[in-house]
Amino acid sequence: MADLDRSEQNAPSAEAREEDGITVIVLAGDLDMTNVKHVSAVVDAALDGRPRTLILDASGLTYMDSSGVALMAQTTRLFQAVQVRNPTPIVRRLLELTGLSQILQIIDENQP
Amino acid sequence: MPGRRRALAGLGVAVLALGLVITAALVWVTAHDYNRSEHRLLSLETQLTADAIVAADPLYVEDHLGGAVNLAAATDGDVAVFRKAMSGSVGANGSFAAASLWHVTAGAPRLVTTVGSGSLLAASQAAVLIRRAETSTTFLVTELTGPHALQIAYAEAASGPGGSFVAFAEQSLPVSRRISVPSNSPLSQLNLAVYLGRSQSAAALLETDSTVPLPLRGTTSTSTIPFGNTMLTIATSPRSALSGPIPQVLPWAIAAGGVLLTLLAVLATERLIRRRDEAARLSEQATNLYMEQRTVAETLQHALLPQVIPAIPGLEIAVRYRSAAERADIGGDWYDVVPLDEDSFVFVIGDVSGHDLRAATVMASLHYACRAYALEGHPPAVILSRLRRMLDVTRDGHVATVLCGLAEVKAHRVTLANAGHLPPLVAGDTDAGYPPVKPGPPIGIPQHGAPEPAVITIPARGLLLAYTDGLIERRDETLDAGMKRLADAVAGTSLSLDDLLDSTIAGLPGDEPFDDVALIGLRWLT
Repeated sequence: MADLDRSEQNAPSAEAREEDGITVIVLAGDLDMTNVKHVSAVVDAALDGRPRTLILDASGLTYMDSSGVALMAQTTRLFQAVQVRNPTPIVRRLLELTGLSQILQIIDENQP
Repeated sequence: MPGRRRALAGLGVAVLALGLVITAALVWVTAHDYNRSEHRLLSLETQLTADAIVAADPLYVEDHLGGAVNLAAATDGDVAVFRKAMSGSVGANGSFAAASLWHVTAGAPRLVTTVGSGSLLAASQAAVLIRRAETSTTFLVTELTGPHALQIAYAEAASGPGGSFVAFAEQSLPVSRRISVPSNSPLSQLNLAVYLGRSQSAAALLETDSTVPLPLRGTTSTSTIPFGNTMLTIATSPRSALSGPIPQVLPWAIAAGGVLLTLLAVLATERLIRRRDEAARLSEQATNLYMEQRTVAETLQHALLPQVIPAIPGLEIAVRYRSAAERADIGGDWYDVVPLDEDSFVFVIGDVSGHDLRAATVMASLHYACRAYALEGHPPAVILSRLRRMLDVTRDGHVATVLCGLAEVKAHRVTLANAGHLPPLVAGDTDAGYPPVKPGPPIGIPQHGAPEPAVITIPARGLLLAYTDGLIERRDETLDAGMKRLADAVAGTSLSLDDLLDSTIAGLPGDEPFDDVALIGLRWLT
């Protein structure tokens, strides 16, 4: 039951919105195997508009495990281009170590 | 749980006992109240009866007999005066059957006159009574018994200028001593017995209307009233409930209702007990099913992993797998060691995303495909390229990270290819680190061209540790921090390979990881 409790405490929020005609999903909180389905559902819903590009705003994503890696890997197959915006160091390092940084674009707005 | 069942059966008995005690108390209170009310009513009615008898009998005797003898004494025994005075109370007009007037002189009493007929009074009896009457302040009462009749005789004395006079009046009693009371009389509810004197003996009975044998028993009330020189005792008992039928049956109704409610309560208690037992049994079953399911998942997971790790000359190999704590589902971690010849072998460690049966089947197919490509003699980069063709995340819903290495023992050389997996840890005698192995994306994502292989050299008596992310991932911490912790734990260790692997797994936080952990350790003996 411990895992359920934790996912309740720090459940990730995933909110889709439009920025200049591009679909942006803002992620926040801890993304792990106990709650990845919730975020996955938001991504599926965003697909309905058949957008070509997806921006994942990861500035509020405090933790991510291999479930999140799998989810982001999957988005690269669903959209023509996937950008991960302002990832925290934890997420950024995970994307590098798992080779995802080769297939999606990491954008740091703070470092021009 | 026989102990609990016994305790609950005891609860049923307690409910039964409590119900019966409450019922008994209510019955006692109602019955007591009913009896008290019956006694009170009976005593009231008895008193009314006594008052009626006082008005009817003693006063009647005083008025008529006393009045007549006083007139006789005042008129010096005038026969006409006495006869006229008694005419209203003797015969068909009054209560007396006969009356007589006696003149007492110094000698024997002398009969002056008689009124009415059927006197049972003998002269000798009269003489005795006359002497007693002369000294009595009230009238004398005596029973007279004839062959076919019963009488009460009253004697009253009075003195006048011509001496003392004594008058007798005789009242007939029915031989059966039974009287009938009209059904509309208040007395019709009562069994009534009137006795002369204080004793309620059959001989003293004057009259009764009782429907039950005398003397009266059960709920009775008695009252005594003065009657001449003696007493009348009036005994009564109710023929039916004086306060009506409902108070009478109320205790019985309460008893029946109470017992019925008690039995219903006991039945309800027993039923609750049975339901609770049933719920406990079902819960136990569900727990067993869950444990069974978890055991099945674990059994499957372990069945998919190699049971025996091949021995490689010059090398020590150890593997570990730890399933995620408290989860019934199946992890997708795997490892494999595939010997190629006496000096070289391929090792693989991988992690399929997701934790369901589908992830386990993806793991199984990648596992065996990987083994087949290795046995065909393909290098790691080619093995991973071919694996990549097998899996598509859009179709299969899963990705997998895989690290594949070809080890040449004598040459201390390892050729690595990496699809999204964490880099292996390589340690010498004193230091430990992660040689750069550029990762390609995870299996499940297409990539054109083969990944870049990396060739690394293992130091003398060196160690290579390949692992899945569950070993180092922690919250609020970068992967680098986790990797450094692992390197620090391994660098310069004096532990045996088995102990080292055990200690790294034992060092994981208790409530974490959620994820499975797989480990392969290779230690060069030279």
